[in-house]
Amino acid sequence: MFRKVINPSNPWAPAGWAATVLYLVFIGLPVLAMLVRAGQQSDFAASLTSSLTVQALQLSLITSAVSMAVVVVFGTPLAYLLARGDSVALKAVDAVVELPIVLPPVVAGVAMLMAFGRQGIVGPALTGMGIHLPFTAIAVIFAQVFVAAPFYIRAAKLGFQSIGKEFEDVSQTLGVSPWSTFWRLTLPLAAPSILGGLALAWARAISEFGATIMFAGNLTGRTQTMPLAILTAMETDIGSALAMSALLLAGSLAVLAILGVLARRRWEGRL
Amino acid sequence: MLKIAVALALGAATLLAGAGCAADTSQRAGRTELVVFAASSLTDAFREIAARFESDNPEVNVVLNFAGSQKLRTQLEHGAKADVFASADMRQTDAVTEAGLTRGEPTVFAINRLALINSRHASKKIALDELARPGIKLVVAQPAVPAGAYARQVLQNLDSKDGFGPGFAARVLANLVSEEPSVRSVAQKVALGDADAGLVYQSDALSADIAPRVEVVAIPEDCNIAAEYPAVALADARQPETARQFIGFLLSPQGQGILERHGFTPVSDSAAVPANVPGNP
Repeated sequence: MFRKVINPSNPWAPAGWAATVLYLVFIGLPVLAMLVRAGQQSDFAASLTSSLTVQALQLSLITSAVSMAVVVVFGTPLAYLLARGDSVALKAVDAVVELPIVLPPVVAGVAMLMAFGRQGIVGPALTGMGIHLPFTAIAVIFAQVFVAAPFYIRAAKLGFQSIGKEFEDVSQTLGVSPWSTFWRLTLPLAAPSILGGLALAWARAISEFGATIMFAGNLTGRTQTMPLAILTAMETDIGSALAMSALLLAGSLAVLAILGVLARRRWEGRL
Repeated sequence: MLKIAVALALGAATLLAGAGCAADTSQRAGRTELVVFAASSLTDAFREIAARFESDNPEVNVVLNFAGSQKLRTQLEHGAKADVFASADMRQTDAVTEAGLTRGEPTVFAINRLALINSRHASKKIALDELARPGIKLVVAQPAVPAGAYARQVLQNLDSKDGFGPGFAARVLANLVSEEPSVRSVAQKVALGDADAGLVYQSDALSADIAPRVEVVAIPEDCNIAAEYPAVALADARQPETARQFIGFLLSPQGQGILERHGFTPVSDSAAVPANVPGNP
């Protein structure tokens, strides 16, 4: 469909192609080099099933699943409100919501420690209730939600905005309640955007490192997620580090594939 | 738009001119620059030593570069230029020596030992034999970091000592809540009060940032470790003579005094010092 958009006689075409090739080599070469090195490891399969890898993978999958549940439950109504409201206050909220996207994750970790650490602003109150967050899997989830939520909220907001309010108004004039309009009309139409945002947020949660090591610490089976396990293994056992990196690469490719399918569905939905 | 561009250009020009002037003055003063690569645990001590060395030798300007010994070693292996390498770990010095980058024998100039630190916020001080009590939140460095390996060794040593009970090391390690990537982040987690206790170098426990926020519990000498800090002059040093003087100064009573004040054990025994080092007291 877009094949003929750039005319071959366009003076930019050669530069565009040169830049494309350079870019593909630039991102492709390191990824390929890593895969080749991982493949050369004689104990690749053993590294994939070593207890360090398995425990880290389990922890990453469980914590990111809980994080995504939290993000969806709280993020969806927030995104809907942002998509439909146009007050100044909501515009301000809209800007603040995206702060974690531009904030360095290690800063997020320092900030969370200052808030929820034992001597943090609310730490003593939490301790009084018998809740201790640092060095727990809950701290891992906090860090993941903090950095990943905006990716979901942004995508869901754009998804809701693309379903004009007129559709909802028509539905309601036909006697359908606002609640069921949301569930039967708005949500299904916005679903590709929402799921795309969820895939991005999940990828971000799985890759979360800076805030986690700062706020949750690094202990195998308790708070050591895949990226932390890779860092630890790099010091002692490069084979495991390579195996885990290959595993995360496969996960990233899966996310890209999901995003591709969802993007196509979104276009087909429009046409 | 044009105004902004002009302002930026002027600003950049001023900065460049300023930098040029700074370079000029140091050249004009004819000060020789001595580049010292030092382990991050030496940060406080070496700042003071450099200042003293400069006031004794006004023609010398000491430039300090601090990082983990492993990182410094990698930098040197990849062509970084320096005159002196002061490592927290003989293995890194050996690696640099094997790569043919050193000049002369390395000299051990200080010894560091481990200490147990408690959070000031803890309601009750945790003694060494209470580390195995369930519920205590302990942090140590990960085993690949020298301080992490030393911490485990100290626990093993305590394990075989009377009064600590069987399986002491294993019971203590069951209280581990995090294996930190560096010994300084161990100290910081305890100082912030998020962990109850941690095993760090005595020099960390006494550092200006950490000391006011922790309580130090000494580890009996017979169970402690002795981490040797070697210094060596580098083969492509631009100031080989000054490098030798600096290493000599580390071993002088003044240098040893400064190191001792920062929590290091001085190498007072002259037998430990190779005889070929000039400035040997």
